[in-house]
Order: sequence, then structure tokens, then C-alpha cells
Amino acid sequence: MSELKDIIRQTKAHFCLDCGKCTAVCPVSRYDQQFSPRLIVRKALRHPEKIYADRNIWSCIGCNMCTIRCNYNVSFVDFIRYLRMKSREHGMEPVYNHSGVTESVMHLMGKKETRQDRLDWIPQDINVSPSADTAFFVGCAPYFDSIFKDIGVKSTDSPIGAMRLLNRAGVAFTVLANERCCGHDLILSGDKSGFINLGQANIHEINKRSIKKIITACPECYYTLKIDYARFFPDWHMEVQHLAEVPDIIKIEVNVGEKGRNRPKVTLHDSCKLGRYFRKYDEPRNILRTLADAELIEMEYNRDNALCCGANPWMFCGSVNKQIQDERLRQADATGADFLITSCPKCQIHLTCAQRSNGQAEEKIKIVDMYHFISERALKEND
Amino acid sequence: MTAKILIFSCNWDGWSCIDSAANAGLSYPVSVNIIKLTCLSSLNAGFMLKAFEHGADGVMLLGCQNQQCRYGQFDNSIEIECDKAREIIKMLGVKGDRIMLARLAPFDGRGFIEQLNGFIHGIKNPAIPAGAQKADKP
Ligand code: SF4
Ligand code: SF4
Repeated sequence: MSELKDIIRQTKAHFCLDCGKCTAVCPVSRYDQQFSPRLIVRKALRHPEKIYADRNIWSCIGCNMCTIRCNYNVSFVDFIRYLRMKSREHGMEPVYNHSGVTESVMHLMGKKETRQDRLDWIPQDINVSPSADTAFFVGCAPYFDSIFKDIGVKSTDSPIGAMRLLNRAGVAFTVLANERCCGHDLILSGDKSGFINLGQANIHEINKRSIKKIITACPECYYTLKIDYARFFPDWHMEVQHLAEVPDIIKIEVNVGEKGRNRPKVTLHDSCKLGRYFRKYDEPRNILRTLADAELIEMEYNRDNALCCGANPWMFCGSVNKQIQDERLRQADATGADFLITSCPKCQIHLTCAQRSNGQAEEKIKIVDMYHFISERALKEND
Repeated sequence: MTAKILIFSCNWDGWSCIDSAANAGLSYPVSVNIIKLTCLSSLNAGFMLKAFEHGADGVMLLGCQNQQCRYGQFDNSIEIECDKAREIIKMLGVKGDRIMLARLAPFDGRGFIEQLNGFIHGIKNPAIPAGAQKADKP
């Protein structure tokens, strides 16, 4: 009981005024009348014993829209994470999508004895410096390549593009042969022991190599390594940087022909983590405009108001999620842009999945990863 | 070491082979467990990975021969899912042939036992060496 009190205090849930702003802006509430963040806080405060069995606690997609709107900054996602952890202790389990393949991969990676063989996809032209004390944290893209083959997404395009940009910017980096999943989706789904296993294994790998700094292009890895590792592992004081904020990146000499001519029309889908969690909106826009010389057309809902890609941590993906994704795709189509740029591999997967399930994907806006887009457009040598 | 094997068998020709083996008094190691499914086409990589997560050293898929599916599922979906699962466990560092797809003629009990034994003999090491799986408290 006192633990619940602590969490209520930490997440400021006791400040909740029952005003309902969170529910008014929540994309899940819009399509699922049963779901209301306001009611979940209220129920948890009044009947904590009942909340763990409530199916609604699994519906939140963690987009952080509610916290941004809340005048008292109630950190609802942290509250939900805690309720999910407790709910698991009470014997509840979420239903995973894709027959739980992502969950199994994360659990298998979390074993101490796991020795992965995961770097095959790195092209020859990329220069990895094994002795560098900066590590590029890849994320789970190599696994996504296999898992989401059928929907035609190649997630490693993202780290490949990112590493090419780092190479061109002259930033030396190494990659970890036995890097584990950062654990973002396990902790968001309340699987604390799974998260701790991954975190410990990663920290072990990183310390072994005397790494001083981590750069990542994945917004969720960025959040997890920077914020959650510091929360859960007291000895973690690593410098973690997102690729878009590495100062040398924006200075890269690019080759896009005559500036201002043949500019591709693009629209940017803000990822929740880089966006509403860190409020880093200008960084990706700057590199997109400067390096790719792209004409950026904003969607009606952007920055703080950007709609999430609609997916939970690989669980309970259903009609509500699909409706959110369809709405986002309609917003993107409405810009008239040729490319919908994503900066998170998972956004790319989920939006592509929705676009394909509506058929005729080839006639719609083309969904492309940001680092892939920039490196393909700006780093090509002159013939 | 006797490899721990999980078999997913379809309800039709796959199961008939297991049944025939039993009727003929043929045996297989106790470290083999069997799950019966309606059809292998309902299985995907996630279930195979789950088996490894829970300590299996190999996964065998037992189904009807091509074009014999009772449900007309001739789309090779199980081959695609097997390839996916093989790629994933290779990335996870698991060595060797760990996933076997056996399509047998109905009532081929002997064929089933031969294929299973061959598969087990080929597996020399645990998929993921056992060890502490629970995290220490941070
Ligand atoms: S994080 Fe997003 S989905 Fe979850 S309650 Fe808040 S607004 Fe709704
Ligand atoms: S939207 Fe994402 S979680 Fe949902 S089915 Fe598609 S890929 Fe899976």
C-alpha cells in the first residue's frame, strides 16, 4: 500500500483535479469509449485493489499527450507502467501481438549467456572503429528486419543511414557485438525483471569496452538509456546523445545538387519519445532541411500535438490502434508531400503496416526513415 | 546431453505418424514434448521462439506433405515462418540446425522416429546455456 502511495506521489497523481483534459486529448479515448486516463487515476486513488485487474490499464500507448496537457504535470505513463508491473504481480498478463515474437526475442537477449551474432547487415563502406570510446547504439532494427519482412520494411536502413552520417561527420564510433535491446518495451509493458536483465547485460557490455559516450538514432533507445537507466541503475552516469543533436552532423558537406532546386516535398512524423518526452522538435527538422534540402510541409497536428503512430509495446494492437494510424496517414496524405519521414523504426513499421492493410500502398505517400532519406539524398558521390 | 525438443504437429498426417509410431511400439526420448495443432499454417515464428525462450534445444514441425493439406493451405507460410525463426535464433547466437520441418506421408511412424532421432543426434549443445535467469536486484 505504501508503495502505491509513493508512486502516487512520484507521478504527482494526487494532484489530479479530475478536470478531464487528459481524456480530451488522448488518442485512445477518442476511439475507445471505455478508456479514460482520468478515470484510471481516480479508480487507482479510490479503489487500488480493483485497478490491477482493469483491462483498461493495458490500452495506453504511452504517447504522453496527457502529461503535456495536464496543468499539474501528472506523469500518467509512469503511473501506468507501475500499474502494469503490479498487475503482473497479481497474475495478469498482456496479450502480445505477432504471437509474442518480440517479447521472446527480448527475453532471450536478456539472458546473461546470450552471445549474439548480430552485425552481418553492416555494409562494407561503413567505417566502425573498434577502439573508439563512443558507441553507436543500434537498437533492435536487425531483428525487426526478419520479423517484419512480410510488410516490406527494412529497419536497418535507419542505423545504416545514421552510421554513414556519423562517418561523414568524422565522428569515430564503435558498435557493440553483443548489444541487447534497451528494454523500452518491456518496462513500458510492466515487465520489470525482463527490463532489468537487459539493462544489466547492456551495462556489462558497455563497461567491458570502457565506453564514455553513447550515440543513438532511435528515440526509444535514447529515452531508455538516458532516463530509465539512470532511474533503475544508480551507477549509470553515461553521456547519451541523440544523433540529431551531435553538433558535427549539421555541418556535414552534402551533395544535393543546386540548393533549392528539385527539393523533395516531405512531411515529418514526430516520434513521441523525441517529441513530447524531450521536446526536441527542431533538431530533426534542422537536419532534414539543411542536409537533405527538403521542403518540409507540416501536418496539421505536429510537434506537441503530433499524433502517435498508434502502437502499444507490441501488445493489444487492435481496431483502436488501427484507427489512430489511419488518422495519422490521412493527415500525412493531406499535406500533399511525397514522403512521410519517420525518425523511429517502430513508427515506420506501424504506419507501413496500417498503410498496407488499407491496400494500394503504392499510390499513397511513401513512408521513409529519416536517416536513410538524408544519407541517400545527400551523401551520394558525383558520377 | 539429450536435447529437449518441442514438436508442433498438425492434427492430420503429422499426428498419424506419431500415432503409428506409438502403435508400432517405437519410442523416442522423454525429453521430447508434443503440441498438437489443427494445421501448421496457424503457427508462426513467435511460437518457435517461445519454445527456445522456455529452454527447448530444438523445435520440430511435423505436417502433411505438400499439396496434402486438408485445409488447402498451400501458401508455404510455414516455410516462411521457419526461415524467419532461423534468422532470429542465428542472430541470438544459437548455433546449428535447431528448427526442423518434416513433411511426412500419413502413418509413417518409422519415418517420424528416424527423422526425430537424426534431429536429436545433430544437436550437441543447449540452445542457450542454462544459467541464472532471474535478475539480481538493482
Ligand atoms: S499516454 Fe497517450 S494513450 Fe496513454 S493515456 Fe496519455 S494520452 Fe492516452
Ligand atoms: S501496427 Fe505495429 S503492432 Fe500493430 S500489427 Fe502492425 S506492426 Fe504489429
